Amino acid sequence: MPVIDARDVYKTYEGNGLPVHAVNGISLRVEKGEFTAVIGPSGCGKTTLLNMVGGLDSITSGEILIGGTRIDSMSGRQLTDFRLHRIGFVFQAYNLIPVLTARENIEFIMELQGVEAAERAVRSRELLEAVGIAEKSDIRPGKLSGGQQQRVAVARALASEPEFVLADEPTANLDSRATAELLDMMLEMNRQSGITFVFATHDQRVIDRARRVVALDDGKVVSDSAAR
Amino acid sequence: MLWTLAWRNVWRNRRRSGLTLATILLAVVLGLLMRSMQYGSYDAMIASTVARGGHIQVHGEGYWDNKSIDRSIRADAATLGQIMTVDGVVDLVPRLESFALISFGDRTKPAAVIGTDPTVEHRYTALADRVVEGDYLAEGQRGVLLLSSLADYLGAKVGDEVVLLGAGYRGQTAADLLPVIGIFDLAMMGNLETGLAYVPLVAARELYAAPADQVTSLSVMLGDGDTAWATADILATMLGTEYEVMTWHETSKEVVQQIQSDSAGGIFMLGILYMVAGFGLLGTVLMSTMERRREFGVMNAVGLRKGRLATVLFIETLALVIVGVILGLLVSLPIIYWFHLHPIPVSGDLVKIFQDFNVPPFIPFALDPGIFVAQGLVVLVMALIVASFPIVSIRRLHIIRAITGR
Repeated sequence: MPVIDARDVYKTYEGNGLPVHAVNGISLRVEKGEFTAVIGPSGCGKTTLLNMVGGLDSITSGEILIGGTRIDSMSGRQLTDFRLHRIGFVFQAYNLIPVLTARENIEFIMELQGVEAAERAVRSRELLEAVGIAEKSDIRPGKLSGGQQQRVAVARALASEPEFVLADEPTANLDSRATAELLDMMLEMNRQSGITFVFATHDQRVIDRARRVVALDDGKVVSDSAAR
Repeated sequence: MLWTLAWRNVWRNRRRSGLTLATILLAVVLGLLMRSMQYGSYDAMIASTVARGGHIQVHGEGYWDNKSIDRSIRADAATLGQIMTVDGVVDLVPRLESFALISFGDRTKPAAVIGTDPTVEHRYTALADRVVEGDYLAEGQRGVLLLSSLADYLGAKVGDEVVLLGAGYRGQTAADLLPVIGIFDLAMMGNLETGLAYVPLVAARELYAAPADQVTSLSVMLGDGDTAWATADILATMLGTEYEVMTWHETSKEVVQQIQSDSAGGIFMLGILYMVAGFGLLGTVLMSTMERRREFGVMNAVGLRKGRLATVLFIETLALVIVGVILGLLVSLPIIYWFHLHPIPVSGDLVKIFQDFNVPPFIPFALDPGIFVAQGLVVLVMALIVASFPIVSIRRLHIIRAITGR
């Protein structure tokens, strides 16, 4: 069963009184353990597709199934709970909670899931070690570099033990070295633990490392390396 | 962790939170000082009123509307004993009063002549302490205590004999020649009644030719003034229709009205004060909500329900208000306590105003816990209203727009 199964999905906005077809009949299946990059020029619909797959945005028509569960008909509250337990997110601007330390940012997700304090402490330590910044655990995001913040964001995304991680332009604000380190780390997690990553990106360094590349244009899939 | 999150968010922008706290603190301090001062003044006015007339007055039926000595009542030992058995009644002040002309030499002035038990009278009105010349009255003594302004008008001095002439009980002539035992001054208690004289109860009965045990009023003193209405009902039922039983609220309506009108003014001022503080708090909360929309979007995206997000914001507002109120209380309490022990003396024209209302010329401060509870509740309601704005904002939160800043 695919972890992501988007079937003939459309997303239409009203823009200046005219309909804008941001996603125009996309079907996409992502299997467990994939390391996939969704690429394309700005405005091609890659972020909109990821938002819909992540249950952050509604679809105009079609179906989206996550691990066999249809999410496009869920209520806002059901979607929030679904995201909490099944999907990890990494954003371009890191988006960590500034008043919480690196460790607390990770534990925050687990606490929402109802994980006991002792287990939270163990797992957050393991995650911080996995992303290579265990020594920064008690530091707040504002005092971490961009690369370090994005590592914490990855650890936070993995804290809920999700079925997959959606990363929207995760390297856009990072320098080359931080990008390389972050991607290597994610690839390692993908290889070792089989964690599924789906990126929306136009960063060639991400594309080079992706094992599957799905290209979009005008809201449609124009190429998919898995299909070759 | 939601509490931790909320608390740290409060201190995220220290300067802004500090200013908001200062606004709340100032509002609480000013509000408490104002209300404490008002309630202190009301307490003094009520105490003065009650000292003069009792918490409850018992008269003959119709006496209050037609103050004739003919409507006096018998206050024999049995009646007094019966009243004293009522729960909460601690003392009784019998008085027999009417009006008479008081003459000395070629000068005459009408005056209220009050026959009273000198010992009991002093217990409540501290009348003996007001004597500025001569002595205070003693029970059974034949003599009169004149208000200084009346004595001055008549030109009478201690030891002089003054003539009292008026209408006595049941149409008899009230006439007597009494020595001036002492002269008292009511400057601290008010000086409205320029013609006022006290005589011992027995001498008053002789003057007005009233039977033994006859009084025009019985002032009933209670241990707890708050039970006045309930006790009055009990007394009215017990004494029957030949008596009228009135609380001080009925016998001193002008005091009640003055308190109500002053209190309404105070509440209006408080409203303005808290409105200013409320808008200060609202500004902080709205600013804090607007500038963190992206953060809220992300938290909702990663699995924090909107309801719990709204709870965090609610706790933040409440925490800010509670800290402000606690600081306000900590600042206010010592000040109020100090002024409770050391009332502020007034001067100039204010002295006259205070005297007009029969209260000592001081601004006392009340320590009634109700004042503090009321202020706390008002601020809490204000916080609840202000906290509803970010809650509405969270309910309307659109994740994508929040995260992208659109």
